[in-house]
Amino acid sequence: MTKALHHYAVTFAMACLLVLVASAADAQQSISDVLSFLVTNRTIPTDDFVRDEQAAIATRDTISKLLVLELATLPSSSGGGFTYLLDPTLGTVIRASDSFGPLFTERSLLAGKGQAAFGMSFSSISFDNIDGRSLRDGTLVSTASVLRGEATPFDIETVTLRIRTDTMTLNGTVGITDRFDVSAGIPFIRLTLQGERVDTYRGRELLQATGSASANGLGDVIVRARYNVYRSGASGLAVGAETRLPTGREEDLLGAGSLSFTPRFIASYEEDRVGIHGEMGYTFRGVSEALTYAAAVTAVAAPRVTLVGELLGRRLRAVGQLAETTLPHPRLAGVDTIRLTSSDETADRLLFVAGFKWNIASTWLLTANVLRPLTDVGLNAQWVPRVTFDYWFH
Amino acid sequence: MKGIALVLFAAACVCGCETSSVVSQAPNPVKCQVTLAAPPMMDPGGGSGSFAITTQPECAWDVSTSVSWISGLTPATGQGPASVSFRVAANDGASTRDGMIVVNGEQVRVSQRAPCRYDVGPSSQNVSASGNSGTINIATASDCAWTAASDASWIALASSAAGNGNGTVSFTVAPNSGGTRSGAIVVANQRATITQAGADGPACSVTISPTSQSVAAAGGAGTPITVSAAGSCQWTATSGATWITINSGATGTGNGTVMFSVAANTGAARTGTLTIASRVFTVTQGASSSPAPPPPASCSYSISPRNDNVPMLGGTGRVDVSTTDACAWTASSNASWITVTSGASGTGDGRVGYLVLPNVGGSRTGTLTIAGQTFTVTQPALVCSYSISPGSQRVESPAGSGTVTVSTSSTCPWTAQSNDSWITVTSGASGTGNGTVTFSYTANTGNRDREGTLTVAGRNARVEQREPSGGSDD
Repeated sequence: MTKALHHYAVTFAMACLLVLVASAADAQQSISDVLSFLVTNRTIPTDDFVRDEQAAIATRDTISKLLVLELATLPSSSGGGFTYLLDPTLGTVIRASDSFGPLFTERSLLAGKGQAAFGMSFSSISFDNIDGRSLRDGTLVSTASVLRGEATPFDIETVTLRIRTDTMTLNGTVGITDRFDVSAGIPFIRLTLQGERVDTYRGRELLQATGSASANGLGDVIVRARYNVYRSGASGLAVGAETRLPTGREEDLLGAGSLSFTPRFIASYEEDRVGIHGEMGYTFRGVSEALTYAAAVTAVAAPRVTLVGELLGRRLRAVGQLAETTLPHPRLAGVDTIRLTSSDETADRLLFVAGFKWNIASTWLLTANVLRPLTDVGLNAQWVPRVTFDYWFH
Repeated sequence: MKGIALVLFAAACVCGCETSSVVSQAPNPVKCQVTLAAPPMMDPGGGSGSFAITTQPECAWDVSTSVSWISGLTPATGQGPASVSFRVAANDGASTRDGMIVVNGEQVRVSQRAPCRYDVGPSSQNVSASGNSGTINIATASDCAWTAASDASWIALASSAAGNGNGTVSFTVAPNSGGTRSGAIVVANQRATITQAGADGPACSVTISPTSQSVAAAGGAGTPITVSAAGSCQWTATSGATWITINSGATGTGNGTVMFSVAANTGAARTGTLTIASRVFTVTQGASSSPAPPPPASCSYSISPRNDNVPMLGGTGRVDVSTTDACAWTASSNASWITVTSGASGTGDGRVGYLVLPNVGGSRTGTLTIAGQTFTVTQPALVCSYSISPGSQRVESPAGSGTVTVSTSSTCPWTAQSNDSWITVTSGASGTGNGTVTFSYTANTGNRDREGTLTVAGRNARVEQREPSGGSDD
């Protein structure tokens, strides 16, 4: 066991070294640049280029933040899975619960002293809408000119964006004591962006610009620790802390560009086959300060299968929401200019998660789940599938 | 081992870190085009006019002109469809004049008629006492009206007394039973005098001697003709043939002598007459005994003027041909829109008249060949319209170059110039028809974006240059 852990740690360190070297590679035109290019007005004569650019930057920043938020805050495997503790009466290590725990919500039960786990998860997201506006059907208005009193703009620029992310995350957990464990997650992300901007002047459509970009690389590395402060059977209370290191390239929207820190409180109640778990935390710095909360219900459907349903919530303070502003044209009488920009509103997001954990053999655990947004706020996909394989070195 | 493999896989993924991107930008579409309705022809005395601008309600425009005789453009700027009024000064020139008013690079032509001028001829004619008929020719621009009237009861108009443009007035003269008398036909305030010889009454009997003469083919001076008449009798002598010239005694009172000469005859025998106080003097000239002599080897021709600029609405013109007497020439048109109306051929000095049709297309140039010389007629286009592309473009902060294309009719001229010191037109500063303007710009070393313009074919082409730290967009 110790030897295996040693090998694992050395290899992991080598991988991290390679990660650091690779992440220093020079980037070409960044995804942020391409996004900015696509949302900047170039054909509608607003006579106020400065304001056009400010609106484009605000729009780009909001889309970027929301995208980074999705990538940088996608939960990695929770501490769920196999949990062990020392039975003093038997003098041996036994499983602490028949449940494999929740999917993303933290659990007060820890891995157990000397226990280690390694896992890998895959997730693919194709974003459909942002703040309730479709990204794909060409109705996202970036700039428009309208005659005052008329409902339909006579000159309009619309943007279509196809944003897709494929993420593979390597997870590792080590139990230091029965009451303290640490874990880490290393996400590798492929982000692709394709878009086009179309100008429609009095019904005549003209493709104005196209842009595409892709970026591969390391996302923001996650390091977490939990400490169990109270335990009664499989129930208990714990405190945890999570930090996300700015290892992802910010200009390619693979990372937040700054370190974030999230302390949280965790409560679990498990009785027989059913468990209820909850957590609440607050994220400092990073993309946005945020109040985070989650609740999960677990049910042991079979000795090797646990069913899970969860609600994940966030109140984001500094992301903003897309909004349209209307200003009179500085030179043309009776003409208003509409620009897509961002408003500084607090955004509430809520996700529903459903899935299962299946002990397929030995200490191999297969986790499959889907996420579905329950609110329009932010960058959303209809469904987000995710598959995880975990292995416990027991 | 499985864990190690997975970690190595992850490392391999990371080693593949990369970013790639492709962007493309299409030219900006042309928006806010204006359509201009040409104003009606302005009167020679000047006055006010207007023309309509048709465009979308959001489209701003400005109006200007570089023509000094057009003023008072109101409004000078505006937005959407509108009517623009202007004033035109009186035209003191001899021909119709055209001026351009420019609206957002589009031009509309203002034409103003010149005061009507009339050439009435011949200015005088002699008619025998027995009466006769004749014609008077009127030459003027097609839109110039005229009326004709007789100021003598014995002169009657035999054709329409009014018309527009070139025309002919026919008249008849009643027999004169009295003495010599004069009257006139007045056309456009010009008088064409008609003198009618008096009747041969006892108190005014006129005889001539001889009454005929034969002249050699070589021609030369004829035998003097003696006119015998009472002392108060007035008489005139006129030639009925171009080759018989009265050298003296064209008019007289009482007795007198008429001297004449005959030109050489290069063809068949011919007969001509002189009319002296209603008496006819016949001149017969024999045929040439040798083939017609070739024109003098030294025949040289000159025409004046050599070219003409005709208004858009067309008009008439004349070209004088100068050469020696025996030198023949012809005149013909090389363009379907120019017609030779008089003087299609001649010998010696002469005059060619031509007519130019209105131009409804682009500007054009045509020629006449007159006595072997080329006479050039230029006629401006109805309206030249221009478009440029792109109307706006963004460039990066380093120095570089760009282009603007001009689309217009093949005969429409244009110019290009920079309005900012950091933009220089490097080629295509002027042209005709479709063309390309190339410009260069200096590096933007400031700390903010900057904007400049080129004026190409009267329209502004905007160039926005990023600040040095700005991102790339193409």
